[in-house]
Amino acid sequence: MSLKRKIFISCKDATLLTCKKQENAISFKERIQLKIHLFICTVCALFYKQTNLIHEQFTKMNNESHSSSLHVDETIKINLQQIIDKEIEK
Amino acid sequence: MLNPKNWVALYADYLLNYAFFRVRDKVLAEDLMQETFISALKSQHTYNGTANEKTWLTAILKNKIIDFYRSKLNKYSKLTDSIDNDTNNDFFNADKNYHWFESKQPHHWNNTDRAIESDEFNNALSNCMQKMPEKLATVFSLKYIDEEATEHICKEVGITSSNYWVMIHRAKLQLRECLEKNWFNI
Repeated sequence: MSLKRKIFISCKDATLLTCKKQENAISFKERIQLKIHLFICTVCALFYKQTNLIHEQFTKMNNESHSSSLHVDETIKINLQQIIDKEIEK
Repeated sequence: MLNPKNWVALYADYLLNYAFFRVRDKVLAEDLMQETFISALKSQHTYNGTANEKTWLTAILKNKIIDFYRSKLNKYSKLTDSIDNDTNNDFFNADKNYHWFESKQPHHWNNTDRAIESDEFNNALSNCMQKMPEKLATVFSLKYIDEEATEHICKEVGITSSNYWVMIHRAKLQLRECLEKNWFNI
């Protein structure tokens, strides 16, 4: 592989490396390649920034106790309680 | 100490929401929640007291969700092959050194801060996840919602690490594009 190809990677590879970096699964060499690519390619830099944002959002959603927007129907609750009570008595 | 008598009152809603967030189907989430209680009752003897009751029940539900994913994946194994062979060429132009196709390039997002604060953003996110092919959505959810370790996911789902990266790459390309079209720049 020529030196040029070692240093300059494609947008396809750069976005893949972005994904790897976001999961801390990037090697030192890949990190350098990504850095150089992002420096010269604004489109991939945008991908990097936006997917980081999506990432943060997932972390935030996972940390918030799951919004209790749904409630179990009363009839299901009563049924389930009966099953459990019966099982305990056994 | 486990106290099954109080489970329904204390945890039914919590487990329902936990499941719904992952499987995005209310009836299915209800089933999984109920099965969790039944399994938990039957395996009370395996509870060793290190985790609290809620954590223990959640772990049981989590296993049920993974079982559900896995059964679904078996059904879609044909689809797997096509995804594995697909190299994201619909985003990148092979004739131009895998540069972005112009129509596929990311654009600036407007009002990111405000958009992200909104609860509706989470809905947009889950709508976009629903649009992903089943297999991608599953692997992506296992990683980003269940926060499972990558090696564990590969083992559970039966894919190699390079398959995994192809899928995560693809999932992020699609998710980003979908959010741009349906949320940020409308």
